[in-house]
Amino acid sequence: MSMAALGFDGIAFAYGATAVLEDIGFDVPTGRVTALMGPSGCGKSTLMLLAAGLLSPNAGEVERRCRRSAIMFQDPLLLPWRTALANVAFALKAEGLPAAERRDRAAAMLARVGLTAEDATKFPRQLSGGMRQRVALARALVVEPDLLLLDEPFGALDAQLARQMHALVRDQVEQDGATALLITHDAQEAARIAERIVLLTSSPGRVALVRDPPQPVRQRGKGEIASEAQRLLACIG
Amino acid sequence: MARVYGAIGILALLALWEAGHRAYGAIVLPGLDETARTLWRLLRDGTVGPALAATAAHAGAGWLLGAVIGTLAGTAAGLRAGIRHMLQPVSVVLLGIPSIAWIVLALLWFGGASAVIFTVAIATGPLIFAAAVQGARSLDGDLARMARAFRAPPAAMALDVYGPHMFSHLFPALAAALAMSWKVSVMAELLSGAGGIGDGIAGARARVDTAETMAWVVVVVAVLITVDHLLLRRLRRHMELWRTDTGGRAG
Repeated sequence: MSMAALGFDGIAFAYGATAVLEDIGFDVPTGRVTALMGPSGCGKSTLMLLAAGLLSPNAGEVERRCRRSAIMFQDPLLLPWRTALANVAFALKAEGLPAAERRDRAAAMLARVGLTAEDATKFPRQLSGGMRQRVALARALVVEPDLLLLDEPFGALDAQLARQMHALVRDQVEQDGATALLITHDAQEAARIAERIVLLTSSPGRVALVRDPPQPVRQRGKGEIASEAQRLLACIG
Repeated sequence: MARVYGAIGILALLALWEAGHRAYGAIVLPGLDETARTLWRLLRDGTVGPALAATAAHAGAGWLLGAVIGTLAGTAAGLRAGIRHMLQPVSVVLLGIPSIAWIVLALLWFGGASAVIFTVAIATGPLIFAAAVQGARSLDGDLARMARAFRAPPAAMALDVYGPHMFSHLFPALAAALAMSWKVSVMAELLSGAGGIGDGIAGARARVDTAETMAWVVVVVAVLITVDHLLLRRLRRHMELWRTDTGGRAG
């Protein structure tokens, strides 16, 4: 297996006196989707913020071997005073691109996530919850990240739309060689799209399981996905 | 339909004005025709233009001064509790002092146009300060975190994240302060003799010329309505696009 794009080594983190994560150690392999699962409050989102460099661990080390990371939060966190197009183009401001190029790339990415040119001119309040999540996904993908951090981004979407969005993430991983770390509560989804599944215990979160399902993602049939999901659910208890 | 009702309201006000004129006479309340003729004379002899420019300069400079100081102090107070605890009582004291008292003090301290500008700034600053405190206190930490995750440069943080949020809180206060700055400016000019519309009203009062006084009142109201229609309503409409759900879809 190639070198890990992201590695957690002995990570501990606490909010004040409350320990959230303890002795977290696992790798997120390059060019693969890693699903992170665990009960509510076990520190999955905190681990994501540590991966993004938005928090610093109390102990241990986060090793990032990526050129550009992008994060998608549970809440879309769109700028309410900017249109969908401007929200996506905002992510490119750090690249120092001309405004016209930012707009063109943002428009192309919005089309890729299934939004129309008319939707692109709307403000977040004028879009449905699912459309807002798609704008947030477009914003994450438009920077062409080699590390995608996805904090349960499609939980609010209906099953079919969530599957479409997961397919977009897989495209990014397979076509562009990106790496994805995805938080999900859905064992079926994890079993369907992830090469590696990491399970955390309840608070404080510790690694309970790191599993690489044996079949390649594209070759998993319904039976394999169901049995893998059963196995995960049994571990979660 | 709203415009029809608006027109009915204005026509009712004009009818009351005319009725008042007929009941109490031209010295107390000049008729609509006499006021219109006086206004036309003031416009034609070049009295209105320079007076309007002077009042606009006084009100604009005072408003700008109040806006800059109020915004900076309010933002600092919103972000730092110590500064907030220190400045909030000061703001309450300043708000409690009537504008007329400030005019008298400013005339003693500065005199002339500076007194007018100072009075406008001190009357409007605390309003803007209060709005800036609210704006800075309600800055969305999650949006800032998102922007940092996308490595937004400082200019983008200011223009795309913090700026619009602060402006949405400041706008109503800035608009109210703009209207207030005209009224306070005219009042201060009337007492200070620093030129402008207030000076025109002072002259009309000295001549017991009620028609000219009413003509100046019409000028002030016309300016406020024009600014509201050409500038403030457009800005308000743009902000309503993202602040209210005007076209949401389910699903």
